Amino acid sequence: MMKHRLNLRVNKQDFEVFVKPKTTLVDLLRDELGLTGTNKGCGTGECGACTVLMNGNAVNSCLVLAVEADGAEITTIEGLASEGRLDPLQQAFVDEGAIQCGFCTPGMILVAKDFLEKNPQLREEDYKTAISGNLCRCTGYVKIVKAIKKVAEGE
Amino acid sequence: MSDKKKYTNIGRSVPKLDAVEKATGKAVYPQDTNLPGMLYGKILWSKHPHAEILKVDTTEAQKLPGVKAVITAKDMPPTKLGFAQDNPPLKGDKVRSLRDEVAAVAAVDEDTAEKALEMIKVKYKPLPPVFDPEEAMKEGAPQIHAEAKGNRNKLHYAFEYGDVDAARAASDVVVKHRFKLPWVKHCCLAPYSCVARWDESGKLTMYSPTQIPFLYQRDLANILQMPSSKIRVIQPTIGGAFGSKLDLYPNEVICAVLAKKAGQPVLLTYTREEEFKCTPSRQPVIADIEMGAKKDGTLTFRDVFFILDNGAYTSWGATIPYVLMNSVTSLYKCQNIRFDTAIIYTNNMYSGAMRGYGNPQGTFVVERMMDILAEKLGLDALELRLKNCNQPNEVTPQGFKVTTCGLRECLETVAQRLDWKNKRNKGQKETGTLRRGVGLASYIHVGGGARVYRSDGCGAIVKVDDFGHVTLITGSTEIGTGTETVLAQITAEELGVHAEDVTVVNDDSAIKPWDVGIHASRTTFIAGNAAREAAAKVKAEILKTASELLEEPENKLEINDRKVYPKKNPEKTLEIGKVIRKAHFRQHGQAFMAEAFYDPPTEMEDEDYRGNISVTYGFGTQGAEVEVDTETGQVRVLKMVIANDVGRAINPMLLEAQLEGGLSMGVGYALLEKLVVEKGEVLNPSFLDYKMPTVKDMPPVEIVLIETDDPGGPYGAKGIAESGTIPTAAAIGNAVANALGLHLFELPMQPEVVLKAVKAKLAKRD
Amino acid sequence: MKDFEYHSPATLEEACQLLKKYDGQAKVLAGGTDLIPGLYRREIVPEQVINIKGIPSLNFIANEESKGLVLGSLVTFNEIISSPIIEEHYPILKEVAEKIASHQVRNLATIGGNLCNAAPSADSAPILIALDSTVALIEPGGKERTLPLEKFFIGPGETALAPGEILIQVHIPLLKPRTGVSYLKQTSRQALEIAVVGVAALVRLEKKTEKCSLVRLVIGACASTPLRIPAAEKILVGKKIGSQDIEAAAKAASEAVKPITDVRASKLYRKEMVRVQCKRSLEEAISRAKSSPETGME
Repeated sequence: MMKHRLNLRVNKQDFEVFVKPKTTLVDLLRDELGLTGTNKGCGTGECGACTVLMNGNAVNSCLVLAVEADGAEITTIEGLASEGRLDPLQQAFVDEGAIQCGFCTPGMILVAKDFLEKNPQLREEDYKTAISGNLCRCTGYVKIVKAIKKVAEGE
Repeated sequence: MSDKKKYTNIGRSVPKLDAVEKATGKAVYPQDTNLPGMLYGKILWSKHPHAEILKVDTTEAQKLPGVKAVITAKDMPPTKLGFAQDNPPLKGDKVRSLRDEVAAVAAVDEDTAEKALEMIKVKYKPLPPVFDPEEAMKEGAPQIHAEAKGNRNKLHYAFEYGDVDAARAASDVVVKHRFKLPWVKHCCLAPYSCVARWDESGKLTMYSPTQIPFLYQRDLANILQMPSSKIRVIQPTIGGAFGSKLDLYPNEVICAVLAKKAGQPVLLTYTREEEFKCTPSRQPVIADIEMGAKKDGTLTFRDVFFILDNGAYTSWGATIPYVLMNSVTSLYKCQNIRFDTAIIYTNNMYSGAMRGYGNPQGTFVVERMMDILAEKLGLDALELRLKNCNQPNEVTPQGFKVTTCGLRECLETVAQRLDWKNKRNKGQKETGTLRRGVGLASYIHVGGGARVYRSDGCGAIVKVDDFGHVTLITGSTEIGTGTETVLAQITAEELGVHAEDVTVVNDDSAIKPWDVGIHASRTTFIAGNAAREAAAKVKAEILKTASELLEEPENKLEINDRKVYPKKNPEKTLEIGKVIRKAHFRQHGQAFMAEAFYDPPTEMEDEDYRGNISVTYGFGTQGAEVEVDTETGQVRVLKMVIANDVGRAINPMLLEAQLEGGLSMGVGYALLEKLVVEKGEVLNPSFLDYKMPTVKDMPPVEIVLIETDDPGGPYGAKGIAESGTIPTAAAIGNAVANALGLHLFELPMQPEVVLKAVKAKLAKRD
Repeated sequence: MKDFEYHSPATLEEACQLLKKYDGQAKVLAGGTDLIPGLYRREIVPEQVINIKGIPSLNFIANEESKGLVLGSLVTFNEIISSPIIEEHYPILKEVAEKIASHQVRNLATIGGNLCNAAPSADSAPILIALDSTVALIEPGGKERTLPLEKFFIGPGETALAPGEILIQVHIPLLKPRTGVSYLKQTSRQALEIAVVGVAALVRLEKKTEKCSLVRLVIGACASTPLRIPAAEKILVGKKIGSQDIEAAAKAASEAVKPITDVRASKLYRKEMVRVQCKRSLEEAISRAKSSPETGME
């Protein structure tokens, strides 16, 4: 099967890669670019673990073909902290005890990031809406919601 | 409470030590492994739930470019896996379920491996299957294992105490019901994944998410017929466990054999569908239970019979009555008990261990029956529980020696927070579509280890380095629950440093001392006591040197905030690092390192299931307020209250997080989760159709930690990791019954089930 | 996932030609949220995948006097949720979009994809049919046709699209005065769900008399296509609707649907939920009709 060339920008770095059409974005990030912080929990868009930001929108990277990301700007969890400083959401997740096994964490943080940036005024219910496509088996979500709320309210 | 102040680390909500790695995506899970030359493994599953294997032809698959190894039963040693040694890692003569491993492939990528699987030709001779345990028990049912007559697993758990028949005759009220509980799944967010690598000297390194690294090492050595000294187990970051990695399973053996045959490392990761279909699940039970009481509410007897669907092979699922029994024998005082089980082989997937280990099932049945009994007695359900409440220093029929017990306080706290008096009997009087009700349920569980093996021990090594930096090497395993942080706090407290000064090493069998495994809510208690003991030994050494330097006797010195000082003269401080450096850089210097092995003073149960298996027991109560839509059957949980006897909260934040996470599993068990298994096939093997709770399904939770300061626990702590899950379904079930004035005898209480019961009640009334 | 060839046409014409050329072997990729899981599970095995997201003319939201709201087929559900035009004039579309899947999926999933995938449970279909929407289709050569959405669905996964045809727009007439709409979705969980039953209702009431002049009641997930229920609508039209009428209409709907039993729910439960949710949806639509503005386009 012919490979396609694509150019994309991941975490502010430019990449040129060759992929089969069927390669999904999550597999490209993990297997080709070594960005294993993007976790693959189901492969079918039903758990949210593989969430990344694509052109500023949170998407399940298992629901995107890599070829579709030609020319796209992608942010993965590895691209959030800058100059050794955690993103406020990362810091809040750490401080509030919102992380246990950690497998859902990158997806949770990135969807929250997208949601907070687009919705300046949020109610309690909105924090839940933000992460309702992200499953977590460890935390019962309580401390995750608390962490997002903390950042949203600028505490 | 006042002694809390004297602690620097205990009682402090220290963030999880590995949280930053996880928040930045740097944590390495098994599926993130990338070794030079690493291949991808795939398993060929059976096409039939019960069949003879006539022929497996791998010729074509072996020829496919990129395929490096194809294995069948012929490549396997003749040994079998599991507690009953009835599970060959690859099946050669017979398959007994649709999740049976028939062959496996290692190839340069997953695609090639998948293609190769399609090219393997297997000829089966189908046999009549049986899926219902009650059918399987009947005479003439298809025989699944030749040696298991009537499909009965040779494991049999029966317990008797007092005189049940006399107690029944003397009871004023007797209630009897049958309950049915479903298959449910752990739903670890990370699908099961492991890596095998052989080196040139014939040593095997497994990168495994196992919860039992040392038993795993032993079992893997047995099955591969090699010395366990040649197996090293590295545990990368584990993406959820909940009991699902408590045994050695065929996939890990297959991975090792593939890697050996290929001469290259192999990564074997399940898809989510495989995770749902092929990993062991919490077993379904059918419970016949009869309970009695005197008019005044004194419990007289319990007589229960559990039928367990074991599935096709014996993993830990078959042993859960060992714990299930605890709730029947020991939750609330009852002096006449009969407990019996039938563990039945079927052609379903096999069952395993899952958070609570049978206790969620047992507690659901017992606590639902407590409400039914109270109703029949005309007593308040809370009063009935308080009347028969467990107490400190009680010995239960199984011989459990209760030390501290905060159950009464838990019950009263939950009732108060639920506004029990006002809300309890309101629901049934309401009219309209939406009905509200409240309910509560309690649990007893091991809280100070659990002697299920001859040892319940854990080793610890504590080392203090020249700048006062501490390393704790613990035998225990971190599965996300925060044990590494709690152990760091305990170590730091003992040494007088800060938890942040402690590095915890817990992921390599070549380094860490032995431990039974992470299960039975035991790690804080057992590994905590081991760490504390090792730290105390190092502390004594530090004080010895400091005594020379400060010219004060050791017993007059104290360590706090990383400094040693005379108790009388706290200004005259010496940094721990300095003490250590002094000891390093001198003639006949010394290193500061000590080990400890803590094996609790408990006993194994005898053949009659009597024995004090835990140093202490955990108690707690959960309360639920629900609203039921009587037209759709939908149950909404409006609020949950948890009051838990935790002994001592070493890290309140992480402790709450355990309870909250456990609760969400319990909410799923109560209302949403069920593997739909028909003819041995899982019909909902996806997160879309297996309904684990989303954030929107979780009610607000109030948590009250009740500290009883257990004398056996590290700084008074008890184990609690499973407790959040155990009484939830019962509490919600009791609240639903309270709202509707009717009883449901199955889980989950999905809308359709609830609606059917509501309609049946209405039909009866008309 | 099986291998396939991938095309990313830059124009509509190119896309139509490719679709025609590979008729029966090609799948259109828009949001991908249904297609890619299908590929992953090998339930769909196309030889060609044609990504139409590079076509610029398909992603817009416009409010036109003659057609009402016009949605390009590539508009995503999150674009619907955040559109000021939709929030002002068609808030029901936002309400429905918020009930679909998850935030991440709504960032990808398109209105055109949701309709062309033709799942009987698709959330957007019942409400758009209730709103009397039409779809605009284009064939190779550039010839366009429009079709009432009601006629677009043929069966599960089957639509009225001819070989080479692409859905380019959805037209949604502006709500007239004294008209209320509602969409209710019966599910097990509170999020991340597919409808067990979806019910859309549109009710228009006459001025002063408050007699019902128009009803459209459309049920999802209970037949091979979204199903309009004329028998139930007839019960209500021309009447000042009382609770007994609603009960009767809901009962008629429950009798008209032909659901299946699957892992999500039984046939009987679905029928009963059609009754309950039709009742609730009609009540909500009537209440909204009563409180909707008196003036506007007749």
